[in-house]
Amino acid sequence: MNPHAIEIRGLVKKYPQFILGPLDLTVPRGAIYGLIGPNGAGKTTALDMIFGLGRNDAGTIRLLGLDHRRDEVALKRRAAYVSPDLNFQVWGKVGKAIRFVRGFYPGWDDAYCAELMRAFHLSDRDKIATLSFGAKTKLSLLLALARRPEVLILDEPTTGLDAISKQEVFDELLKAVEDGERTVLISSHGLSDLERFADHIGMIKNGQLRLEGRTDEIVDRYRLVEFFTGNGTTWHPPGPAGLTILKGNENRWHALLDQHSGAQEWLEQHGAQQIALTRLTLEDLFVALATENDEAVI
Amino acid sequence: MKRILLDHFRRWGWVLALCGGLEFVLGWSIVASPTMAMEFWALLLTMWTGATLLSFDLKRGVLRALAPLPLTGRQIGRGWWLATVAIPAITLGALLFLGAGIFYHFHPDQAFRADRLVMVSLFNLGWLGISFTMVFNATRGFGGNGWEFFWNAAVSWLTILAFFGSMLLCQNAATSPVKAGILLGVGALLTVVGWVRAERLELGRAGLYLGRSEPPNRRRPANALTPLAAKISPHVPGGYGGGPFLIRTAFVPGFLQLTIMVALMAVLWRWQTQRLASPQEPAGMVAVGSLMCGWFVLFYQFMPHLGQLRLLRTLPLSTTRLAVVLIGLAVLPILAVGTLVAGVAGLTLGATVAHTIVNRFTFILAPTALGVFVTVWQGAGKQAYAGVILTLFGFWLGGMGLQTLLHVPEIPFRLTGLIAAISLLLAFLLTHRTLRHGSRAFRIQPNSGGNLPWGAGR
Repeated sequence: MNPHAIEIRGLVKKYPQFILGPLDLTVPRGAIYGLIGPNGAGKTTALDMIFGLGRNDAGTIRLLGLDHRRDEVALKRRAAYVSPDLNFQVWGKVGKAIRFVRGFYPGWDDAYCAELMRAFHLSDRDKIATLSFGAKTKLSLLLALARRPEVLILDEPTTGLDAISKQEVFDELLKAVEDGERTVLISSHGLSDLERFADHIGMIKNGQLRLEGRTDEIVDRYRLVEFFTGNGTTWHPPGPAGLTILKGNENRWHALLDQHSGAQEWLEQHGAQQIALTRLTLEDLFVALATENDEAVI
Repeated sequence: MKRILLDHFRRWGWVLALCGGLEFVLGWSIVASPTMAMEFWALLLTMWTGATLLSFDLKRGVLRALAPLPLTGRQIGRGWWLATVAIPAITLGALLFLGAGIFYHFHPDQAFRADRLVMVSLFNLGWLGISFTMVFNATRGFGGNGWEFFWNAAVSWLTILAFFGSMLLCQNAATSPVKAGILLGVGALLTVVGWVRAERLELGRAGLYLGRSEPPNRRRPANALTPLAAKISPHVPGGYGGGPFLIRTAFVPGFLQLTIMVALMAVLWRWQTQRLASPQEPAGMVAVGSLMCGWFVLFYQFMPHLGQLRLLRTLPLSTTRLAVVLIGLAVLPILAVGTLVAGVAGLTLGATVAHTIVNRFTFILAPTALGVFVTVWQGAGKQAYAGVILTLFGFWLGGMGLQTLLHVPEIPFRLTGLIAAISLLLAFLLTHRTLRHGSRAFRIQPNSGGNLPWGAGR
């Protein structure tokens, strides 16, 4: 059995003002993979390509060993996509939307669907037009989960949700993946949620994957470093690879430090004083990496 | 208000300039060919200089952008009325007379038909008023008390009837006092209604274009702090779903609405001619009726479904099947209505009329199927609207040209069938290719206009 749920190799999609890729991305089976990146980085485009929402200019996408073009229908039977842009309004009522979607999936789980309706406070008689933005997202999630997909791809599933709704959504997602057999690829700006929820993280910036790995390892690898350059020291940024200067004020510096790069030793050798390392959250790391210039960090 | 007017004309200047140029040509043509009925073309031009443009703006959320600005609802409403009714009516009238006057200047031997020009100008005002009221009425929603609901529904129905009715009545209306009286009377009434409603635009009630198509569900608080799960007994709907459900739910209302529209047109036509027994007479009406069916299906039935194309693409439907379903959504109601109308006409009016109907409804399948491709390709935006209209009227004019070329009153059915078959095949191949290669249609935002045709995309 293929150990990877999603394998993206050399994916390129060209728009007049934006190029995604070449992108290589691997999501292991049973993983919860968080895809992060600034707005317009190419996250939604990458996810769209998996479902054929636009044609890639180069590269291959395989999901559970299935080619996204050749095995289009089989792939879509085993995967589900949740995106805020999915529009169910034409169906009028929640019940009709459910009836429509369930018709495509022989393995649709009615009991689980009823459970999700209860958890998400949705009734089959609810008018879709009167649902709040968050409730529409929940409907989208319900339609995706009730078919028991092997791979769940979520694009900004918590956008517009309040804290309680977000908790409900994550609870249901965790329940759905607790058997360890389902894979989730989730693109989100809710970094604190992802830090708790995702076991793998990939960061896209300007259409390129800039960082990828296990969440705990990534967060552990980087530190925020504060140091001083003493009198007579002639050091000026840029420093070595693995050291990204965030701000400097005369002889006081703040930087992002990759602990695997040997940059700390380099700093000590070059006269940096009072070196203080601080643990970062995923959000701090994201901000630091998203605002740095486009040099590769991996 | 001045800024609203300037903004409208700055953005839509190119459309207005194009229509203005054509109105000039129309004025020229009325004097140059006094025997030809031109009122239908005048109606088409007013459609694209009036509230249709406003409907595009509303669809793209202009009211949401205007609401926080220091403007009263009255100023906005009045500005829109002036921009889409009064100023276009005056300008079109002036250009009509200018075209006619210049032609007359060079051909003083021709009669200057001032009576027809005045009538067309008055019709223009009426049509602009009707379309404004029709579009503007949607900003009021259908909420409120029973009386408001009734009044809004009545105005909506009246505008729709007036709009489609005037398409039938307008031919030769300038020379028929009865037709002219009806058109001008209804037009004047609805123009005044539009002005009064524009004066009373309440931003608080214009929920339709402020991001919500209906009032929020009051049954449940927005933030359900107390779990409501116990109160809701979830019911998962049974029965079949999937593609057949989609076709059925789109087909049934489409078929019923088309049938009502065609029946209404037949009644109007009968009332207008009073000579239904003549087998040759219905040909023109059948041609207009079939064209209207194509128009109605594409704009009112198919385009609202385009909003869920992104969803449809994520479902386990092959590209081939999805392309067939999309074309089927538009083509099947026309086929069914055509068959029904031909059957009824065959029994009541004879086989010749039935044959004409079959022929015309087969012909209209061609631009309808290609219209599906255009909307999938362009994503139901301005370009899609323009493309569909060009396709429909291109085929209409092409059909007339073919008749002239072949010296026949009607295109032979074999040729019609061939044109329809080739167009269907072409539409399928192009739609299939667009679904696989394009990405524009998949990026349509959930619209704020619900299922209304002017809310079908961005």
